[in-house]
Amino acid sequence: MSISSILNIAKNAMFANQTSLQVTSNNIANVNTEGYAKQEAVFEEGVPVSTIAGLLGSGVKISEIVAYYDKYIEKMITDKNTTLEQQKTAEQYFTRIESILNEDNSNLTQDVVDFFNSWQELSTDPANTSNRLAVVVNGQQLSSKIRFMYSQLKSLQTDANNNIKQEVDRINRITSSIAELNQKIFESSSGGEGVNKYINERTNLLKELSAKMDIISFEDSEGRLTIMTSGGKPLVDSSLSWDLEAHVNDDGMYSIRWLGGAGTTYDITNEINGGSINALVSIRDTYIPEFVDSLDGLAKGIIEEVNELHTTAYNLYGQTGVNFFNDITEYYAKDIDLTDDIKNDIKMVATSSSSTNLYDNDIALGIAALGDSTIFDGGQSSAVTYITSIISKAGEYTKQAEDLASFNEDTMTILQQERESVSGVSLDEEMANLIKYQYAFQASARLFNVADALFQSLLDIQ
Amino acid sequence: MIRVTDKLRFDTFKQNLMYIQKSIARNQDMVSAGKKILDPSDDSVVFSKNVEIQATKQLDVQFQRNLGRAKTLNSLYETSLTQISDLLAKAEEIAVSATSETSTAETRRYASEEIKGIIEHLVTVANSKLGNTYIFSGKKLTTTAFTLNADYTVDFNGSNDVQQIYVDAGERSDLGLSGNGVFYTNDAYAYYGNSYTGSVYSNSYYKTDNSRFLVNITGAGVPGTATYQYSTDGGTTWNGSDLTTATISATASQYVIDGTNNKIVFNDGTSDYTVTIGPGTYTADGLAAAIKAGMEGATAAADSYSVTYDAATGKFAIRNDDNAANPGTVTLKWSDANSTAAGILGFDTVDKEIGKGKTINGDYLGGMFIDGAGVANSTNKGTKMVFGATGTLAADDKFLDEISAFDVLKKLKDGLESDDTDTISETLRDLKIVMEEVEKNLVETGTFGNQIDSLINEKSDRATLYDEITAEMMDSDLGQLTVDFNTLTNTYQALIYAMSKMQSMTILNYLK
Repeated sequence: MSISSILNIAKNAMFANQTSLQVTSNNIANVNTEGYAKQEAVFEEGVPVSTIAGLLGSGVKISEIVAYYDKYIEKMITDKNTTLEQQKTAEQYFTRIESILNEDNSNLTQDVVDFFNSWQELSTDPANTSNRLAVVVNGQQLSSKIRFMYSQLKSLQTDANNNIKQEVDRINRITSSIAELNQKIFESSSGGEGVNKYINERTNLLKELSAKMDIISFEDSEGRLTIMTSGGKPLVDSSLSWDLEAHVNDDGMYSIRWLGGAGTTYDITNEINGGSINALVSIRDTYIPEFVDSLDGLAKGIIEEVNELHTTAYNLYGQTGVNFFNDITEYYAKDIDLTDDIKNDIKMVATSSSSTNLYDNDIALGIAALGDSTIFDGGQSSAVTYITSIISKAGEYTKQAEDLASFNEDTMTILQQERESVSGVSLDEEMANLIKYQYAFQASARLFNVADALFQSLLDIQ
Repeated sequence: MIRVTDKLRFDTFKQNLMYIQKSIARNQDMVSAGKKILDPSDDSVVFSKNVEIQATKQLDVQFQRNLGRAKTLNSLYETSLTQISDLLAKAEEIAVSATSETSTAETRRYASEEIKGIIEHLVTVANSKLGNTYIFSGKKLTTTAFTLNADYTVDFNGSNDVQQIYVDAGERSDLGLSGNGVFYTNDAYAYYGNSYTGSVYSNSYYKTDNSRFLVNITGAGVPGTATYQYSTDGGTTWNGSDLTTATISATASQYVIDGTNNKIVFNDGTSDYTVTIGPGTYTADGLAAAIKAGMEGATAAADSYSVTYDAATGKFAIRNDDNAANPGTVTLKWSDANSTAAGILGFDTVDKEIGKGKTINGDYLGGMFIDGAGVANSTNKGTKMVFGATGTLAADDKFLDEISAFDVLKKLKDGLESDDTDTISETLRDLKIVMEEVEKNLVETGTFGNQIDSLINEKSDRATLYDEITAEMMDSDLGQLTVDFNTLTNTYQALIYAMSKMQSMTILNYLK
């Protein structure tokens, strides 16, 4: 045992406490960093030296810098995040669908009733020109409204479709980054602040990836993360990553393909069962088409039933066989419109089944009666009940998505709190640590003075 | 023990803050909208129900508008009918005065000018318009209802049937009156100068246009043997073959039964039966007996029915006898396509029920149709003309199947011009008939006006009820919302205060 040992011990102690101070400073600096796990320098007693007096300690050293990180909680958060983002995305889109279909915004029911009411008004006085004009105006208003709602729904569908592409691009960037981080973590396998930084970063990326699609992930003994799709397609394995592609189908919609390399691709669209992509695909392919079909059904019913009666009637020119709406056979909601004949000349509006009395009103009455006839849903619903069933369905879907999003948010909050409890930084704790390490550093520095004094004492011996 | 980190504290504070802010925003939305259900997702069932109720209200508004038009039209009818009634009353006064002993040929001539004026005025009233439509034209809205000819005959150009409007969901009502219904009656009209002094009866229950049958006696004789031809164009063309006149006599052989009009489908209270009357020519009494025998023979049990013909009214009657064997209510299924005898027996093609011990009378005259057919068709339009049991028909006697007020006034004018007091006296009887028709229409118009008011009020009441229902379902309780708002803002303030206090509880505040 020598004075230099004391110096060594002092040096190691100072270094250890200085490192701890640095770690504590890092914790304080990252108190608000999302996904940061509190770190701590682990002190370990130096290897004791054997002396004639027995084993003598050789001070302290930092064995490792550990991050307070609970893999189980992180896994639960990752898994819950998939569901949460799926529901939040669904909620966001259903809210928009609800807004489109909400009667307070669309006034669709009102327009339908106004249209058929205008036929009633016309039936009370078929010789009145303004009544005829009202039928045309209300018909145009109704057609325009249906087309507008159709275009809004399709626009939302396009938006969802475009978002799928963006999500796929982001997934590719994430998986590529995770592969790089895997390599860095592997190379920094000795531990330290650096590897913890990489681990935090990778954890955040994993969480972001889990928000977009459901994944399977596990870590190997070297700390490298392997990520697969729920269908078993690899996305990341060690330092390798596989890309996904948003492939444009014939209908202009994106399908998601896994690129296996060497030209192999695999359509995994239907294998994605969670995350925002799943919600976007469901909204795009199932729910919006459902509402578009319903709107189509409404338009089809109105066009066919009104035309069926109108073509049997005689207009003021004595002509018959004139359609009121354009006679179309598909895309009813997209293309519903009055015929040019009707739009350009109100005398083409026909009210009478008699070629000798063009001002009779029996056809007008018949068309007016369609307003509350059960001509939709296979004869089960009138126009109003058909529309309210659509509105009700949108409301139910939205409520369900809101409730699920809320539930999952609450669950996520609990998990986040648990994570914070384990991995979060408490400034009070860190300040206490700061003081502790500061005193220890000062005490270690004092050791130098003592060792120096001892040297001086030796040197002073004559 | 859970560690509470700074992030945890701030995140919790932010979440709670957001939650309260969201609640306050929601509260404000409900206050400003006055509703507690703002979106379908708030309560899809209630929201949808509200939309349906609003649509129903909107529909009711249209029904009220329809009724408003009907009310306007009805008021116009009341005014017009009152004027018509007054004019006919004036004509009656003139006719009465003209038959008095103090009247002379000259005064009658002056009176005829007054009658001309009345006819002209009547035509003007009969051609009243509401907007672009003639109110007495029936369905032919833009066709001038009546045309005054140079000889003071008046032609009706409208249609007999009238348009309908919706007064409620699935419920229609006639809108207006046809000039035919006001100025014409179903009683036959005998031309002046006819030698026949007996009664003439007619009906035209199937007709929907304004055609009239002019009957000209071609072969003189008593009713039932005299012959006639008919014209539908006022005498320009005739049907071409002589037909035998019909008489109200119960014993005249004039009911020709063949394969076109020989079946009666009925239900005796348990089962359906079909009676087939044998072909031949029957008297009214004979046909009644054949029908009775047929109905009793068709049923398995000893049912008993009475079938009679009333020579005073010219109508058949069928009775479901109060007999123990009769199962119950009998239904004459005139709407059944196989029931071909309805027309000749004078029944409408609408099913008729006869309770036990009850009798139903024919809707119209029994007998052959005016074109000699045994069933109603597009030529005869369900029209019959039947003469009394007494009197003699002379060749060239002319009759119309219905009276019009204008015909009567023309007859009166001609009678006054020719100083013919007999004709003038005849018109007094006819004037009474047409005035009664106008009066009947006036009463019906008044009744309809009351019905319209009642329907309008009903819809008003319904609108109020709907408002109450939707208010209950949708409206927010402003008092409760105000309390909630106060609670939320207090909670908000408390939260912020608590957070500010927590800020001071950190070691940083104690380190120097």
